Amino acid sequence: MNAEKELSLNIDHVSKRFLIDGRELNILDDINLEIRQGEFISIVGASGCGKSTLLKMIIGLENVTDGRIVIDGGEVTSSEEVKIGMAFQEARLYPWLTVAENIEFGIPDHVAVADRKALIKKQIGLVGLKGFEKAYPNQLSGGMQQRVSIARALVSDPDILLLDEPFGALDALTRINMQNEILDIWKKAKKTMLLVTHDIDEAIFLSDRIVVFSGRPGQIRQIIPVDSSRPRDRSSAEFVRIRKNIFKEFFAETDLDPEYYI
Amino acid sequence: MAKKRKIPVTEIIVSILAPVLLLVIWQISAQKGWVNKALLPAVTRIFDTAVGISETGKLSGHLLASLSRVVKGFLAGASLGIAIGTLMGFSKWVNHFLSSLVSLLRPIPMIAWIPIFILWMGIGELTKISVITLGTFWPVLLNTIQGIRSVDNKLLEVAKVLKKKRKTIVLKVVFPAALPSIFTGLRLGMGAAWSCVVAAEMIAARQGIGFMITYARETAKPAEVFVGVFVIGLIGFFIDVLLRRLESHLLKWNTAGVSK
Repeated sequence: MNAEKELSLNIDHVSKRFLIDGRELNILDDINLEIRQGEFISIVGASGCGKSTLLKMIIGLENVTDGRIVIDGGEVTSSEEVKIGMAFQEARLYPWLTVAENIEFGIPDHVAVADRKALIKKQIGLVGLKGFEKAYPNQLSGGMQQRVSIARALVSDPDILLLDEPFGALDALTRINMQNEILDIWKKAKKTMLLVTHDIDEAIFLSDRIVVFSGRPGQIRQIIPVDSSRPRDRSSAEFVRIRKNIFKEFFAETDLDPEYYI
Repeated sequence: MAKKRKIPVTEIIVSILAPVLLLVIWQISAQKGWVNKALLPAVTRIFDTAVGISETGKLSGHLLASLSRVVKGFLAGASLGIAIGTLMGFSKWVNHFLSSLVSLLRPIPMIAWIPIFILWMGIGELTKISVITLGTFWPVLLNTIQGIRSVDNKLLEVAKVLKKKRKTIVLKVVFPAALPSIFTGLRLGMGAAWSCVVAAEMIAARQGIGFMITYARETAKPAEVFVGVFVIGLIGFFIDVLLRRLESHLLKWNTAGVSK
């Protein structure tokens, strides 16, 4: 649907192997994925299928064994510029910094002190944490901590936001709230977003395309476009159809009848 | 945020019951002559002596001498401990180079160093301050290393993702994370410094609380010995309270969630 927009992230024949105990272990095998500017992509797959490793390679915490990852026309390097932001499964906030200070930590060093306040204020408004600027992380609930974490990742205005199961540790109600909010942020901030999740509903609710991974070594099994307009009704026929489709990928028909497990 | 908990009156009474009871029994035994007064003077007698030597300025003179040694030795030992501990915490090679030396020297009791220091430096101020420096050094060193090593790798990853410079990572991530542990080291170090000063003064000094105790014993003034011992306990207690206050003020984030 975003075919006319320019390419944001190109994952080009990427493989990853780890050396464990002298033996090579295939983690990811020949991953190809072109992501356009402003697209919302989800990767779903069983745990251990290498989806988090892929995010770590995109942001430069892990090396690529084969292939290459190209961002905005340049290969992943350790340049000064923060082009990609990342939020992890745990909020990973600095407990000695207040909410405002944690968000400020995400601002690149070259930004003038005078401009920092406005940036922080904007992010606090965006993630709905007004009034909590001076609180410490251990005074916040899990959902609020995760919002601070997302604000910290967004404050440097990266082109791409990577989300590594950021709502995985939250309770069901908070998770649905956060999904609505991330959708809101995506609309307002117009970022390319790449979400790793094992929650199929979450993927359908949020994404333009869903990339289904198979396990060990991780390979792309299917890419499913979701065209219906947002906000999506989780009980609509379209939603249920896609959910069934993805379920089939994980559970062979002989294992389970998906009808009973939805 | 941190609301002060109101402690119930009964709790206070119970907690001071044991020391009060001890003092009462002590006083009665001394008055009735159940114990030898040369070995255990009456509580009132000790109190009078304390007031007496406070008024003449004798006590404060000794106390100031001891405190000034503790401050000098503690500052030297703490700075050395933090500096070397930081190096050992960050660099694998510095750590390999020094760790066997640390394991060999650390178990030696401070008292055992005093004759060696006297041999090297005579019985002057430097000897006493050196003993305190060494006593402070060990706990600060070990806790600094421990603090720097235990920084959560996940927090370091965040800083890397945000492309922070190494200097920023050290100052803004590693040090704050190590601070609670370093503070524990400082508190233990202060305790060690205070016991070292007394030990050193008992062996070689002309002033200070340790000297006052030894001298009072030699000149058969048992009440003064007891005054000295109690003052050591009290000062040690107050210093620890002071450091705890400082800690909870500086490390608010470490406790702020308790009264959520």
